[in-house]
Amino acid sequence: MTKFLSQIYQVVSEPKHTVKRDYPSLTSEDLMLLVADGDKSAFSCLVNRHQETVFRLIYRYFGKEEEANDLAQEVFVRIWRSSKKYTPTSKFTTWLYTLTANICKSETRSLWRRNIRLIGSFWASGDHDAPEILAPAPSPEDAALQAEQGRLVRAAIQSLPPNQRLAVVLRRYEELSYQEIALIVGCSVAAVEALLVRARVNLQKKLFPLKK
Amino acid sequence: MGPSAPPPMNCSIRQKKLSAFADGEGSPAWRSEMEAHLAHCPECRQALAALDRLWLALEDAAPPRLRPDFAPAVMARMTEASGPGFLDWRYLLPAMLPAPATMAALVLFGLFIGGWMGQTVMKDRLMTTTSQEQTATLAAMDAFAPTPRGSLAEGYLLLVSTTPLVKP
Repeated sequence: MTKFLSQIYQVVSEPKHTVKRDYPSLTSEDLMLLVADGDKSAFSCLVNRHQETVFRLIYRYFGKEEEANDLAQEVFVRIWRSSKKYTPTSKFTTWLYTLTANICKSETRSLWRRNIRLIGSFWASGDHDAPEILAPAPSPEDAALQAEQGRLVRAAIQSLPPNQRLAVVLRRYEELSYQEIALIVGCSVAAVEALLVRARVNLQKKLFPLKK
Repeated sequence: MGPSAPPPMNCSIRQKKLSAFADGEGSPAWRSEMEAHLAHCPECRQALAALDRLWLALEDAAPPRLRPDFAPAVMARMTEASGPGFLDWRYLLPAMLPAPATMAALVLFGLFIGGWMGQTVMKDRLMTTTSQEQTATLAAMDAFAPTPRGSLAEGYLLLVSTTPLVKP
């Protein structure tokens, strides 16, 4: 039934884009307006432009490559579906980060609902004595050190509460300002500052437990 | 206040602000004040160095990889989703219009056919049925008459009406 409706929808509402556009030269905001009009080429250009950003953010948040790939796809499908709601008054990247952050948070909640116990759930924030539950390291010595360090970092980030985690990822890896993070997380700049202070304290405890 | 004298400070508060300072946040005036304080406070300098060390430690040596078929997979899923706002009633409405329109046409057609059949084909049959039903109803109503047919009362009345009066 849904497929049938979608076919009817396509026939009824398929816009005819006869104008040849130089998509890569357009801003993301302009591309988004074309996407809202049903322009698939504009959407394809938008995907190519922002896929790495979305993927990286989700990967830093969850620390799992496979999951990040799937969720990044979900983000773009949602962009397509909700393109009509996009208002060009807000910066596209802010809108994109907000959408991605919301998907990350809702996925975290659904993971909890499904009782999939992430490392962070074993390893409560601020708990010094909790064991570090990590996958066994690979055997090659040189790669092992780097991989181990990467795993420690990812596990430490995932041990943070969702908003702290998001703030750290957006600040450390995406290099966003506190103002932008506040818009994405949906809180005040002062709250972002507090989130990052607490996140740093927690990360210090995880990554440098012996140092004061 | 001379350049050698440390400015008044509360290090516990300043150390909380170091995070924002390390991130390059704050007004130029506030940053200058923090810099002046850091120049004289080894404890805060140490804390700032620890924050920098932590941020450096978060560097991921092995960057994640996106699937090579990521974009085509998204486009394929997007086609399945069929259009912006898919599953949103505002966008589904135009697609769903043919179904209610067809249903309404069918209902109207059914009413018309029903009416026409009632007026022409079924008229006589309905009339016959009605007269038969009326007869049956009247017969049934007879049970409530003062002298129902076949009753003792009817027999008595019949007898009275047919018997000649005996003259004295």
